Amino acid sequence: MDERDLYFRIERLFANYCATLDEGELEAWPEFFIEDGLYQMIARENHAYGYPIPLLLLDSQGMMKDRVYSLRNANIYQAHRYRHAQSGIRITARGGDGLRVSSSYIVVQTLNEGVSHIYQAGSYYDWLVETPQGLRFKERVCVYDTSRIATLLATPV
Amino acid sequence: MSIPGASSALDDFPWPSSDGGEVPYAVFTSQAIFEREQERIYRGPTWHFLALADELRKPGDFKSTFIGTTPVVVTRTRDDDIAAWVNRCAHRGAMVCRELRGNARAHRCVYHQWAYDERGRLRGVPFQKGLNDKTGMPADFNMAEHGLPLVRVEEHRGVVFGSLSQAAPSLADYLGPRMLPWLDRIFHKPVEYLGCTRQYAKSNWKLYYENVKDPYHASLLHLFHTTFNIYRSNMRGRSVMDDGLGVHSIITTTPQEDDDTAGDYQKHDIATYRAGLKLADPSMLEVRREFEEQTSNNIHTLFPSTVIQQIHNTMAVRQVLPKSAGEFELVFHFFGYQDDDVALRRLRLKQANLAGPAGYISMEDTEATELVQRAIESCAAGDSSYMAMGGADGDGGTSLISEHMIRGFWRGYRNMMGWGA
Repeated sequence: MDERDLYFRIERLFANYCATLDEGELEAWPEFFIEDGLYQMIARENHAYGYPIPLLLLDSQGMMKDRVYSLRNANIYQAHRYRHAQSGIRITARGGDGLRVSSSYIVVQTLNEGVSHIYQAGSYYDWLVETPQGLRFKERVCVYDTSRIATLLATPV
Repeated sequence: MSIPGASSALDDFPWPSSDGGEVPYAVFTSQAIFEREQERIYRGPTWHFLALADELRKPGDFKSTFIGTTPVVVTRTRDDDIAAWVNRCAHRGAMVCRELRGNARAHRCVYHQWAYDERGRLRGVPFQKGLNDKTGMPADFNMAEHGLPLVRVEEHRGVVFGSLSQAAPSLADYLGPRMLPWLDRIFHKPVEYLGCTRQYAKSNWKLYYENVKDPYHASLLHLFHTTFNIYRSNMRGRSVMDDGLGVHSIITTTPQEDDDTAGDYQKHDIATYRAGLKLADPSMLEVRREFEEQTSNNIHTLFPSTVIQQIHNTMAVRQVLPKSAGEFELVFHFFGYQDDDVALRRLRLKQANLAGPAGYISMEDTEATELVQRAIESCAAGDSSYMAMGGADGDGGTSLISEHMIRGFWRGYRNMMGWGA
């Protein structure tokens, strides 16, 4: 495929992903992944020193759906809204098993009081594969620079 | 830093009652009380988690941390023991070590290049003898007298504790015979450090201490438990305090084979109960038996900054770092055993979803402490909380519907703060 077309498709996938989370449509979020896909968040300081402990480690669509169900029905946290800004998309490898893509993100969080603050900065390290529904995540690993999380993290970034 | 004597104005701070069940909200909001705590508790005769020995494998390995608000560096020395020092240059007070972790034989202050070895001993002062035989330090200047302030260190089964006080008893005496076996239970074989997650709460550190001594809230605030039918308040429980000051405590829960308390929850119309809900992917909740009594929760609170957690197969040392009257940082230091097989290690990583800043059964804790902090900032002098659940003396009891350990904590706290009942 033409490189520009490929970038366009990745960009569109990412835009839809960000919009889904920013609009709070959490139920649609697991659909961006294949059934045995992986979503992981890990602090930059762990990643840098080779420590494996994640903040979140969801290694199936089922676990992602459980996260959403729990956020909707069980967990208690302040109402909030995310606003994603994503940039610097780079295809780092391209082969028969899919695409490896890295990018930067910033998530601004706005709470009920109407105050916005930079909640998290980090990198996405993605493994994308072709499916009948288009490009989907086989892996999305968020390495977050903001190791000290403000209060708590409920919603995935 | 507090000015000596400044906190004496607090000597007569009034408490509504002596049993610890009514706590003046001012202890959560007053910066003067916060500074008195730093002096009497954090720099006082207490012990604090600094690191797991596994974080410092090679001579020269170091890690930056804190005891209360005091910056501390802990290192493995060339003699293969562990040392710690206050991270504040003996010359002009600058922070000497500016990295979270690393390996170094010498630590050099960037301001004037005073250099210390890994034990914190002063090894070099630029221009000590002056330049061209002019100026320089006085002839009687003795480097041995100007090292970094040393922190007392005790390593217990691979856990490194530190104290800023020469008056603190030994770690074993400090924890006491009721608490030490619980530490030994978790650290019964060599552990491996797996990394940490950190969160920052806009609330007083003692609100978190109340929380980890409060089994009453577990099935009411943490709805994940009840929603997915994991935790019930009639699981076999344990809530025990140390027999000294009563400031350390252990809470455990152990599932019962015939556990069926759904009826109780429905009968009392507790909103959090939902029958029959199951996780789409329950792999996270598999349990590998590794203790004689396979507790599902082990929350071991060591006053004033350390909480040892085992929830299913996830284990962590939670480190409480007060920053000001209204803020603290909470660090979860996760670990496994060195002989974990691949599947068990994977399970531990997966169960990190349960605890930590995003944990299914821990994310609400800082939410709750912040809700308290926001509401009490504006309270009147003399306003206080009220905790009576479980009666006057629940120690040694098996009920999880109890606040007796929180009351014990406050009695011990008052003693240490010079407000003895």
